[in-house]
Amino acid sequence: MRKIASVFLLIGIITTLISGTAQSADKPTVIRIGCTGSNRPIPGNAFGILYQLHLLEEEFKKDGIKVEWNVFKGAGPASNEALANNAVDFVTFGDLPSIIGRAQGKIKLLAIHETRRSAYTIVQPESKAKTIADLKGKKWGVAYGTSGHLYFSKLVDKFGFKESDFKPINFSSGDGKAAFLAKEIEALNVGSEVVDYLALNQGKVIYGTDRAPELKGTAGLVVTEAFAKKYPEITYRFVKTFVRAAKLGSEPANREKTLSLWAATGTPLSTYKKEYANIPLALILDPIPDEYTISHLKDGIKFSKEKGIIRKAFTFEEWYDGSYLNRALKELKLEKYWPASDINGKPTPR
Amino acid sequence: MNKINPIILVLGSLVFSNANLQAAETKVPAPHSAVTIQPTDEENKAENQSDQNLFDSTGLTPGSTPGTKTTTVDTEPVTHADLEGVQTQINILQEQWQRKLDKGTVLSTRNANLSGSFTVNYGFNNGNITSAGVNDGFKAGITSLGFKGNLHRDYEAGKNIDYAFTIGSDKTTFNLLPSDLYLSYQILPSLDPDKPYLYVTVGQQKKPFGLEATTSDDKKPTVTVAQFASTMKLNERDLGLLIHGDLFPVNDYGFKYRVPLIEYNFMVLNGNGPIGTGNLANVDNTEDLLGRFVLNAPVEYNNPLRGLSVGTSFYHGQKTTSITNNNVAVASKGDRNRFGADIAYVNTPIGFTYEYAQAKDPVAITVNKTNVLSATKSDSQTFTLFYNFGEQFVKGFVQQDRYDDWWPTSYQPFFRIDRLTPDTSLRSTHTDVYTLGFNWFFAETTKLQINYNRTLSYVNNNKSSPDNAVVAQFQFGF
Repeated sequence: MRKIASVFLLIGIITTLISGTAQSADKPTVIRIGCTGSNRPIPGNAFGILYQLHLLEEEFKKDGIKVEWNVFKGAGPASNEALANNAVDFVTFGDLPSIIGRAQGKIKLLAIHETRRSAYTIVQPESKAKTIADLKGKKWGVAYGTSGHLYFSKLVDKFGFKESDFKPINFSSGDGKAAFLAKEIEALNVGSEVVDYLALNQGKVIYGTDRAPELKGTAGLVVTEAFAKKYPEITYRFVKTFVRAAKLGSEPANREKTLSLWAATGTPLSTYKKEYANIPLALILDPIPDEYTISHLKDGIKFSKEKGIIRKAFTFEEWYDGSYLNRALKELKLEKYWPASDINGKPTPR
Repeated sequence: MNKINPIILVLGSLVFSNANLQAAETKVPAPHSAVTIQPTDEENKAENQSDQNLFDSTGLTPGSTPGTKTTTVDTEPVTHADLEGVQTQINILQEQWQRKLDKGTVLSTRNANLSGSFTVNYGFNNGNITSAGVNDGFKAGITSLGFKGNLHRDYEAGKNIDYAFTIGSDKTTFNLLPSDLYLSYQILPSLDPDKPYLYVTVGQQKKPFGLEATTSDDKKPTVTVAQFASTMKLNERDLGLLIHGDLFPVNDYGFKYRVPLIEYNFMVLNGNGPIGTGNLANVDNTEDLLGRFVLNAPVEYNNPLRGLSVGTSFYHGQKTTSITNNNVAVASKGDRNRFGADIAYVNTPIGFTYEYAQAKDPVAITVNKTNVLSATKSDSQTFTLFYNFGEQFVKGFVQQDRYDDWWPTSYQPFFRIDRLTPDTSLRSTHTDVYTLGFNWFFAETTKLQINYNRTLSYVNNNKSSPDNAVVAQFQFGF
């Protein structure tokens, strides 16, 4: 028995020492970021600016803190898996995966990463379907666990249908595109890349967020509660740098350049130009939760609970910690920089 | 005991190297003060201007590594000549690809995924016991080469037909023999993860008995398999038909995690072991039966009970044993039964497995100078405890978009106790193998395993001198 006890003791010592190398007591040796790319391992939106301008690397260089970017192929579900396994500290992902992540884990919403994320339902060019009702019993590609899932669920609900009235097939975005182009499925949910399908006559839109703005998506910036609690100042500096990036992208004078930076994700520049035509980028990059984004996220939480997507409900107030963002806005004197929107997305005084 | 020293040294050096790392980290300057210092307007303006300057000087360089210089983007409108240039480039690329496809590409009528694995190890021991399977010197381990793929993809319902064709080396002669040879059909629709799955697989395949026998080599922490898996012939493949499926699945979309409450397996098999020389058909004309049931914790991904399962397995077959009476050898069939129970908790970062297996085999014994058929019962218990450092087993994390050949380096220390009692009527005679090991995953499909095995053999409670063996093994695949 003494020998067995010695073995366990040795394993315990090794375990303790190896785990101790991950982070020292005062500050992390590395900040681990999780995000999703498009066609290339490069994030978009404010994270895209942070990544390509190396703002975080510069911010933490003087402290000897490395910044590690993890661009997940598996989108929101992969981000949640990484959070659950303590493999990342900060993550930006869509509304539904972040809601699921909060329902099961300990993460705090720090800021908004993207608002008004559009979504469209396209069908085959030769399809006779013209309405959502025409898709009953048809195969429909849906990326479950992503913001596209919430769009799909709310869309069928809006028209009084059940998901089982259709044949939803769970595809990642890449696989869904392949199946749609191979004409194996009738319909597919897509985002801003809809313009590519239309330009190449590979699909036609039968519904989208241009007709139902309430179905538009929102993405958030979250941090693990453990990291924020252990390193509050590092968390603040991260948020402040994030706000600086959002500000750069929101400047009207920087619009062309910002879209060019986003095109590095692999989504063509022309796609971004069409998608955001007549939309100020400040509306997309506004990091401050306003009535529009808050109501969207609250609605997402309620809807997810009602549909059984999450088992445990929570309130937006329990999830959101605005202390870091408010401090950053105050220090950068940007409290009133971004225009606020009301519950319907219309401009309102902040 | 002197030969234990190398592994202690290896583990010790890991301990000290990590301690040094920690010490180095603590030399980093202290973090920012918690006191908030408001920047002045001038500082803000300077910072804003600095950001803008940086923004203006940065351009589009896909794949640039943070910290490196980037180039400015030309945002001039595209001309007709530019477009023609792009078209020419695409045409050249297309021709190059076509030439490559025609000349230098292996083609297949259907989807085929080529894979293989190989192990090479070095071991040494200080005893005479070879039960741990360790001899001094280098040794080539199991080698496999195979194809797996899809023969029919059903986009409508996911009732796909898949195949596997794998050859592997024989442990002793290194002859290549068929390993996995089967067709698999998904009977129930498989596109809806909220619904149960059901498969039928026919051909040569693994026997779904317990944990040790069914876990693939790349998932096993140890270099050598548990004693019972080979002595009870549970880790060898066999020809047969397997029905396997699940019931009452819990599907956690937010984590892409699906776990069924119940998993079941029924198999009818020859019971002769894998196809080899002279083993192409059922020699005893009777089929064996195998069943396995598993209850999984029906929880979401982030639940601490994720990965908890209890299972039970049974095997009923017959074995022909030769009985000699009056100098005449007579073949006689006897029952060959197996029973198993197991519990596993495979979570991240910690996990354990415990497995009990019992076997009953026919044996000829002499009673009143007459040989008769009797049975011997043997049993075994195996317990393995492991801890993972790193993201090797976090599926979503390792699937990243990267330009380089990145993989998260991971470490897995583990401990195993393995007891085999060859005759349960003689409990005082048994063999215990204690294994302390360390796995280092340093590339996507490659790991270094270091095992220290201490084998103790007891005969009527008399303990033999212990066998201490160390094995270091590279396992790599593609």
